[in-house]
Amino acid sequence: MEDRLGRRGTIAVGALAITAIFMIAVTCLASIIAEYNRYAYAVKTTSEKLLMRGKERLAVEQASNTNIKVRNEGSATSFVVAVFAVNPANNNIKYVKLDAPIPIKILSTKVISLPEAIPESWNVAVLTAYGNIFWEEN
Amino acid sequence: MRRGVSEVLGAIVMAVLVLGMTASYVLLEMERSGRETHSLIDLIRRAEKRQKQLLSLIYYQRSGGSLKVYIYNYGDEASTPQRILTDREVPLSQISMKNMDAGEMCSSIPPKTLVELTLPDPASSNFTLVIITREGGVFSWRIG
Repeated sequence: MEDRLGRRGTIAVGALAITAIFMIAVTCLASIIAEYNRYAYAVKTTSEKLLMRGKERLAVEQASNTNIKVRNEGSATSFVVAVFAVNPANNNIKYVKLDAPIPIKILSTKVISLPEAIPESWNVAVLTAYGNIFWEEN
Repeated sequence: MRRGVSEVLGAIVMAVLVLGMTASYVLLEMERSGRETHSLIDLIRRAEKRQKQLLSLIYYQRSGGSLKVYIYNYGDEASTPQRILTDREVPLSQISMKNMDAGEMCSSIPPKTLVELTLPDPASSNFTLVIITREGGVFSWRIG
């Protein structure tokens, strides 16, 4: 009788220990998998951005002091986030960040209205959300 | 009777010993696994941060002994320059950074932000500008 009780007790303690270790292993593995998934998502997002960056091509033309005409000649939709201008006479810089990115679909043209004037003698460029800069061709 | 009592006591002592040793082993294993899991997670998080950093050189100009570079962060993670190399290593005390959105000095390049980085102009006309960030990113551009 005592023997049977002792054996049962040993089995119970062993089972408890194995379950506890199994639970610890599962918890650790779950944390690692969750973190790895986040990393894989970051890699995917970065690869997509780099791919889109390579597809961008914009033609920029300064229509007037406050208007810039942008035509998308690339193979992906571009998002213009800012206008960058340089005065060739003294290298002064003007950076105009747009309130919201302006999407320009493939082969379409958009006119960007600037909140402040940029003299037409300045070199003008547009900056896209994928980090490309496209200068006006003189 | 005495013999019966000592047998019961012995069994209890044995049970306590076995339970104690099992609990110690489980706790030890838990602590070790936790430590190793955390170091692995830390490693993955650092790699994730590195992945999220994307810097683009927009424009640069050299005048009056200083070099101004305009860097746009199109990633999702701020980048803090830790080492800057031109034709030599530029001490961080000799550089200044200005957030072009806010017009204020800054120490890191926030996501979706253009920053003007001013550093001493290197003697050589052609060189590679290398920025190593605290978050583990390495970016280089040919200038000249």
